[in-house]
Amino acid sequence: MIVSGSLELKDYMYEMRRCMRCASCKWLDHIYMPDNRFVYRCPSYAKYYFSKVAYGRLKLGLALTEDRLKNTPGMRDMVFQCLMCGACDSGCKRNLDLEITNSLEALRGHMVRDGRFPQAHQKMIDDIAGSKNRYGAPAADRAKWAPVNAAAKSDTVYFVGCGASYQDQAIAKATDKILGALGGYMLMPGEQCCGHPLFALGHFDAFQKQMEVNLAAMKKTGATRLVTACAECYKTWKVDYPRLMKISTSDLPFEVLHVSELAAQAVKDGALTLKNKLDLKVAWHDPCNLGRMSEPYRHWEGGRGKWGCLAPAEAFGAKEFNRGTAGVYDQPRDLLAAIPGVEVLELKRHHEFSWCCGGHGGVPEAYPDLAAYAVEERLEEVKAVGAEAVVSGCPYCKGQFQAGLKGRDHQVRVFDITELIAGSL
Amino acid sequence: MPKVTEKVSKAAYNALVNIVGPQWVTDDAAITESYVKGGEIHDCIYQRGQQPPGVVVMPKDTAEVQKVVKVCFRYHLPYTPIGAFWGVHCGGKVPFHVSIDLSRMRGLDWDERQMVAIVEPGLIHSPLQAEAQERGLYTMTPGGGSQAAVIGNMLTCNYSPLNYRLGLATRRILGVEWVLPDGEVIRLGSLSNSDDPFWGEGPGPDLRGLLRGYLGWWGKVGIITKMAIKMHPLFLPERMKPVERGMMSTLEFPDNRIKWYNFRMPSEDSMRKAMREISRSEIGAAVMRVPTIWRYRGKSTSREDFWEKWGPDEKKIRDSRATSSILRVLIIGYTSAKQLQYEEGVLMQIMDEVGGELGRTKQSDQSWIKNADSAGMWWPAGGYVSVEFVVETLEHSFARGKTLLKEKEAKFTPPLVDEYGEEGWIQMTDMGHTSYFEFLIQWDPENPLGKYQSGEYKAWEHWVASQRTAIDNGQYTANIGSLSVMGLTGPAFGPNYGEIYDKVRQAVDPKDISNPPLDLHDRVINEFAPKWKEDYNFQTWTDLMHGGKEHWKVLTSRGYEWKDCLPEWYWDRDDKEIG
Repeated sequence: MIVSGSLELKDYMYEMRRCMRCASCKWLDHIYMPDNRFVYRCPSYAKYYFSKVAYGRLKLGLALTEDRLKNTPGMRDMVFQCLMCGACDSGCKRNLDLEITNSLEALRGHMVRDGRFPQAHQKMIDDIAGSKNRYGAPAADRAKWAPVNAAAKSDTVYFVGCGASYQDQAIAKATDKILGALGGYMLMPGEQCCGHPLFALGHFDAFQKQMEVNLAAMKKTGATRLVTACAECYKTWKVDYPRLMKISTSDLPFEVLHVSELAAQAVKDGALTLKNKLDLKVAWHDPCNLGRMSEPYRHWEGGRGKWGCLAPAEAFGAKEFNRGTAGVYDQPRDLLAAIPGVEVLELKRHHEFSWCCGGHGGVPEAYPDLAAYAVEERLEEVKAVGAEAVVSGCPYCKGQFQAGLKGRDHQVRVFDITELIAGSL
Repeated sequence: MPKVTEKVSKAAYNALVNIVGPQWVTDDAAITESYVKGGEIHDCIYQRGQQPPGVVVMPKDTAEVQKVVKVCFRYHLPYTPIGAFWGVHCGGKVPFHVSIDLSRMRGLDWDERQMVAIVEPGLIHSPLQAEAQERGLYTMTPGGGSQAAVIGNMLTCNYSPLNYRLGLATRRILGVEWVLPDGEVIRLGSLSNSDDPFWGEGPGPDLRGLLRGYLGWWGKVGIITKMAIKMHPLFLPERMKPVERGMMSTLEFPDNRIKWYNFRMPSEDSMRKAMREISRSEIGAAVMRVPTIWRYRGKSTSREDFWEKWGPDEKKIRDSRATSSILRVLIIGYTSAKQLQYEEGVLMQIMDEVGGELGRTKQSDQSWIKNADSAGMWWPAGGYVSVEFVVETLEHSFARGKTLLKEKEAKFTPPLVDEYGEEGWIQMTDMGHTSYFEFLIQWDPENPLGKYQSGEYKAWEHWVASQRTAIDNGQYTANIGSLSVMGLTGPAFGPNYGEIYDKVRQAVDPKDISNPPLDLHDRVINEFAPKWKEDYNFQTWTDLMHGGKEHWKVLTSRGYEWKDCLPEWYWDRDDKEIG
């Protein structure tokens, strides 16, 4: 018996045994392969080569599970020099249909339980435990960005997240304006870090505690909808919380939305009009945690039956899931296209095989060289398609782009989608 | 400094570091562990006996490759070159070998006017195809898959339905840069006396022939660091559009220049006749008989979906066996839409004569143009191998399919997947001069049946037994297949390719360091021989390798003596008892 979202490495033996190194986890979808420049989907492999990609990590996981390998000097880097961006998973789904991201998460958990994780992660873990945010900033400063439209009570909770609360308050202010135009919202009293970094780093016990606090706070608000402008918070609330609760996303007692979903629907319904003109060629960067990593979570309990089929069939329902294709892709593009004067360009690697900005998985903290490489590559792509600006839907992506542009020759502007929408209202 | 392995001395390791830099050499087991193939490839047939390397080194260019190889030569280190690590032979077989991973060498240069691409060993097919089409050219994506390295694949099979029109791969190799196992570099084709790769022929003997062969290369005589490949003019005025995403992503065909046709044929004879007539009429870009199971696979959106559809349809498929395999034809209007119309007209006339019934099909890249989903072969059941894939005559393809099917159904199904009477994949090559035949089997490797009842064991047994049936039925192949029937019995039928190949190897690799061949048969036979001895009454190596007395009856009836039929090396073990 295995549970769909198991965090135990041993529950992914099928995945680890059946991976036959086809390398779909590293190459771009061949149909969409643009040229010989942007060929990879995995930043870790593109930077470090060898087998620092899902197939290598699965083989390592297998050796660990089968007790053939204990520890090596390079093992920790092999596991953690990974952005946990899920690009590999969507590649595998094209051919072998294995649960790669789940396996890699479980591998991290396995390493963490053995105490083998980068020490650079420890500060963030301590900061979340102590200050309830990933920066170690005073908890009392969380709402210092001065919301204008927040009400004391609303059906909609705006979960601001650490990034927009402390680092990029322009996003919080823009979201405040959008939500204000859409009927108002309330803040979550005593909001804390959603725990996303803890989950991505493999510290599942600490994550569980964070989750329980946040779920209790959400329950207390009585709201039926949680909206966020942060892709990481979005994935945490929509996917990871139900996963640990052993329920499906659809069984959550509230709806989880990214602000772009809400705004796109409002534009479509005529409830929101984007009127201010902006002459700009923009490229939409699909945040990993808004797209391929944020398909609604479907809980099931069972196992692999004959031929490797998931069983029992009635437990898991529809057979196509976790493909990475059912994340939030169209709404941000529709919104950008609705701004007068804006031309939306498609990057070479987009949708479920989008290239990660490098800001995820504890990589900026532990392996800044990989984080810098990933964002530089993405900026090269932005340049290659002729965009004047890159737009994303996550404060950490925006921060990565801004960092990547520092001291470089790129003439590219960086926006969060909330800023462009709010500016056009 | 990382720990140096037992077999690779510190001096040798340091020498490698000095060449490529410390970040491009590793002996860390967390990494070397993954330099063996995984999944069922790891366990089955060609990959059995793979060993993780002691060291992995990643050179960036030919100069570094040359230096790395010289270090291996000096320190007598066996090495295995790796392109994209896809082909079934690319895992090393010797403990503590050096993996020379060429993935950093993805270079691609163009001579657009002469329609030539010059590629490095890390380049795979889909970016080559993408870049070619940007230049108004195209190439062939092989059955090996879009993710196969171009050079590695060109040196082995490079089989594809498009070989029907474009010819076999080795004819498209115009020149190579070749690092021999002692580190010397030679250049072939017109590269041998200039930097212009436009023409395949160089002065003197054409050594490109040494690159050919079904099992003849596999990195065993050195490393090709550059290859000039003939490209073809693209037949479309506009680019094909990608549509859909995920598992169903594909390229949409424009309707006037490229088109698939699926025909349901009334009988096998009509299938055969149609294939012949299409070739004789010199129409079409690809002509193949597609097994029913692959049509089901193509329509399925998940493993579960596949079994839900395939499982209950046994009776339906068996009852319509003769007609359930589809004849699939691709027509391309290379020069104009009128060409497509003309060829379509000829095709329909042929089908009128033979009774082919046109069915529906999607007009998109269902593998072969830009994307080939070879990795998906493992998807339905988890385990897959091709028992046989050869180029021979069309008659051979049909006959061989029947032989293999009979044996498979009688002895090995289950645990092999029941394909309801399927006799294999057949596609015309070289405008019908030859025919490609592949017999694919699948099984569930997770099924806990025990060693001698498992799918993996039965796959092995099927593979070995298939060699007996080849001999017993006179179904020899022109290229060296599986257990190298022609290699072992060469003198009886013509040149002894195995022996010639061994001499070439000895000449270029006297230290036997370039991907030393695993004596695959010995290892596997040692493992399984007791069981086979019991089941098949094999007594000696000769019995086992040659199918026992029946084989010799065939040969001696043709006037051959035993010793005529075997290479000299074979006799060393001929009288050894197995088991």
